[in-house]
Formats: sequence, structure tokens, C-alpha cells
Amino acid sequence: MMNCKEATKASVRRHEGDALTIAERIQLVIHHMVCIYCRTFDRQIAWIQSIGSSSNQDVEPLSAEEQESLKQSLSNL
Amino acid sequence: MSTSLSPEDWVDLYADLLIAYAQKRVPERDVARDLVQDTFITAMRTKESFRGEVSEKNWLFLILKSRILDHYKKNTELLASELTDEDDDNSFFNEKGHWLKDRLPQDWSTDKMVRNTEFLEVFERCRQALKEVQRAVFTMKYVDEEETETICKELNIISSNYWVLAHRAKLSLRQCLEKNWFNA
Repeated sequence: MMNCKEATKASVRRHEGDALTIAERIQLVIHHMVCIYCRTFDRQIAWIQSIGSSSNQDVEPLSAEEQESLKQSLSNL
Repeated sequence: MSTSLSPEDWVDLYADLLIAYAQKRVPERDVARDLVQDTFITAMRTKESFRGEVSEKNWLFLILKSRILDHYKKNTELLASELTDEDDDNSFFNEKGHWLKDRLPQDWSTDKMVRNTEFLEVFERCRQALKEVQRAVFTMKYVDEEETETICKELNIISSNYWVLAHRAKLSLRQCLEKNWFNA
């Protein structure tokens, strides 16, 4: 019987499209029937994954000093 | 397409674009800045090899990408110690592989499962808080949308190591979101 550590790892692989063996698939289904926590984990990481690339953080542009030091390092070449 | 470069304009034209790209992948500002600087220096030194097959801007981006990958690789050399370090797994599971009591995944309220700006900020902070190698793997997968096989090849790791890292990254990220968003 799969434990939670193995079940969550199998979840991660499944959601990233890695092919589980038939034995792993069966064990995961059985584990999810009895373990609400791993079922919750499984559902939540699927959601997390769908966010993955949509986050968009603003990066501070270079300050005048940073620009200057870059230019400096290039002119010294 | 033009085969001539104008290095004197690089900083003014491209530095902000390059730093934005770099910092999304390597959040430490000073490291990101060094990578951009290395990019310009490499570009200067190899400018004779520029044939104009791509634009000047894309050429600089190609160099930056390879610099970022080199940076990731340097960190994956630490991978061996990272993967034998059982502490990480022990912080989620007991020796029998069951969830630790205070790590049991809680149900998330569906009305907090939104993608508004506030949530995305928390998400971004949690992604950046991942241990460096986990973050590299997660970023290559979900920001750069690369295939697992490609990531393994580029970082020179075997797939079982990839899954250990991906597993830990998801456990940590999930935990961080629960703490800082769903239970906040």
C-alpha cells in the first residue's frame, strides 16, 4: 500500500504528464479512496500548476547608478 | 536583417528588458544584475561572430538565457547534497511516510481560489521563497514551459532526481500559499 509521501509524489508526476505504471495508478486510486488529505493535495496542486505561468511580477527598472555602472564595465573592455 | 551591432546603445535599449527577464528567473537582484552584465560582456567579446540571423535584441536574449542556465547548473552541482538531505521530506512526512499532523493539507475555500493581483503577488513570493534548485526546476517548467525531458537534459539530472525536486517544490509552494493566503 502506498503511503502519503509516495501518493503525493505520484500525484505530482501524474499532473505533470509522467506515465504512471498500472500498479501505481491502482495504488493511487485506492490511496485516494481512503485518504482525504492526499485527495485534497492532488486537487490543489492541479490548481497551483494552472497558475504557474500566469503570475506577472513587476521588476524594478535599473536605476541611473546601475545603468552607469553597466556602461562603465562595458567601456572598460 | 542588419548584421551590425550598436553596443553603445545596448544599456539604454535593452538593459531594462534583460533585467526583467533575468529577475523573474533569478529573483536576487544583484545576481540578476550580474547575469545581465555578463551578457553584455559576452556579447562584446563575441560580437565578431554575430551574423544577423536573429535581431540584436534576440541575440542578447539568447546569451542571457544561456547565462541563466549556467547559473542554474552551478546550483544543481549542490544537488547531490540537496537530494540526500532527508530533512526536507521529514518536514512534511513522518518516518512511515504519513503526513505530519501540522502539515495535513487543509481544504481551501473556493472563494479564495482567485487569480487577482493580491493572490498573484503572494504566489510570486512563495515561488521565490523555494530553495534555489527547486525554484529553478519549477521556473523552467511553468515560467518557461519546458518539457521535463528538456529540463533534465539542460540541468544534467536524471528523471528520478527531477521528481524529487518537483515533489518538494509543490509541497513547499502549497504550504506557503496555505499559510500566506488561504489562512492569512
